[in-house]
Amino acid sequence: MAPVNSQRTIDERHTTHVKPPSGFPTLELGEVWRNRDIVLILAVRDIKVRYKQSFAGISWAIIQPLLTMIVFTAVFAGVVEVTTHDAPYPLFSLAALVPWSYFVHAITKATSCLVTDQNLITRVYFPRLVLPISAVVGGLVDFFIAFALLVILLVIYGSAPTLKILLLPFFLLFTILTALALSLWLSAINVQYRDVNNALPFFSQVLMFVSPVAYPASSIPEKWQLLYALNPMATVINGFRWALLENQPGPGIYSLVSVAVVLIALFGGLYFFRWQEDRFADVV
Amino acid sequence: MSFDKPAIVAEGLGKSYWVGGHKLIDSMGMHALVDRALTSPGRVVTRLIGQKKPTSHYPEIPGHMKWALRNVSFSLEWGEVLGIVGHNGAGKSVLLKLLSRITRPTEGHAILRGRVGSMLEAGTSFHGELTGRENIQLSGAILGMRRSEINRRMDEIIEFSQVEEYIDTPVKRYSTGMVLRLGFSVAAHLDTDIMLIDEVLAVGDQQFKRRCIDKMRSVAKSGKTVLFVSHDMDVLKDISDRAILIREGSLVMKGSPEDVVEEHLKNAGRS
Repeated sequence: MAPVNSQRTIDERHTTHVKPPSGFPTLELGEVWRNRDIVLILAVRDIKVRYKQSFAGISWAIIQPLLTMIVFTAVFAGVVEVTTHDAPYPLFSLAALVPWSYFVHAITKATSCLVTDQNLITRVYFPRLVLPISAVVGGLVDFFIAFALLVILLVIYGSAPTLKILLLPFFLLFTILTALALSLWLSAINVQYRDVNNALPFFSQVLMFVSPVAYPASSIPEKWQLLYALNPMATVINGFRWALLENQPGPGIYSLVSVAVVLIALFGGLYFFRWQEDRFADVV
Repeated sequence: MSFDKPAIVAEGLGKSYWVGGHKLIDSMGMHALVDRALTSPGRVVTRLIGQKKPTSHYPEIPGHMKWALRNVSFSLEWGEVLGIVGHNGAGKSVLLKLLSRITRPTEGHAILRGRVGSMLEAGTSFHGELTGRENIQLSGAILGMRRSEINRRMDEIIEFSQVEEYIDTPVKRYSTGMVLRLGFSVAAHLDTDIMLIDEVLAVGDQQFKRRCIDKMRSVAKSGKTVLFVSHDMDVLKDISDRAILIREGSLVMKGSPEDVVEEHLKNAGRS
């Protein structure tokens, strides 16, 4: 037997227990935090890979919301008139499209992340939560590029920012949490049922119609507002418009419903993900 | 933490799979649950709150339980090197996967004290579009190295891999051999208390393979606790302090490397 090196100190934290899955899962968020390097490295990898061998490169982050804005403006400001509370329609729609594009991009990326990286899951151990978190965090680069476009448009229209803009980070955080909450469920289910990935484009299209992307949330009758707030993206978009544009109705009392929905979906999603996690390597 | 406790203790480790008619179904997973929910919703509730034991709770699903590994117990002192011998498909890889937490056991448990590093498969976390250098950072992080640690050992890793010239070229332009060499280099420079090593990792031409084996030998002799799977009986006898023999998912023999290898070779014809 080789001699024991007594200089070596072993951290209690590094003790690994291998045991069958049992009972209610624990979240182990501390372990995810200790592996935050992997979150960043995977996010950077995805960004690098996405824009390699691409002519337009990172400007795709601008092209998509910009073109959608132009189409929306042509339809909803030209053909069918939509009330925008006096905001120019391009600004009105882009203020919604920037968080919306991020949201759709993040959940699309996150849904397939466990399948895309199945060679990692079946061959290396690391907290699996790192993968959807990385997908959701990585999308922020696109968000900030698209947001820069929005800022330019605000300047062009001479729309001066008010103090309300200071609350924008909270609405961004809420967008991230909404995307993460949904991603945890979708990614874990997608491991076993790839149907999720096929249904997702349709699902996000429908979700766009029930979100105030092209029209103002105020056009929904009062008696439906509570139901409408069950969709947290309604609150996200209201919040972005309110913080960036003038004369927009702010997020009301119903926003609390959205917050509750997201918190429940987030913690439910974390537990669901952890419950399913043990089988990822065997099932994927 | 003291060293009077063993570095690795495994007790009754077992892993079963549900082998269906045409697909592999995890007997405890969501799939089984959904199938069940569609046919008889009432029992799903009792199932959810009941003990999750993968017995034949689902007789309607065609197939049978297959134990890939069962009732494996052993313990390993600090700095000991344990060789694992067995035919292909005997369950050696499953054992390493359980200990490295890639998958969880169906029964039994194990405790590993100290940081665990796996040298199981080379270059699996590589991405073709990234350069060699970028892939070292990615792969190192996923294997559990800190960023500073990776950067400190970067030159060593590159040198060992012998792909210096192409290190800033996307890996998709590499030959298979180059990818495997780079993959091995990253794994070989892990510095953890416990190492799980699969000898199939030694890859490439004869010369590089020799260097891989030498590297594994030096890891094993450096005072780390090592679990070593190998098909090369001479290397195994050289490196290991003790050995175990796994046959059809069961641990059939523990002993000195010489005795275990001899027993294994007696059955070599049966594989």
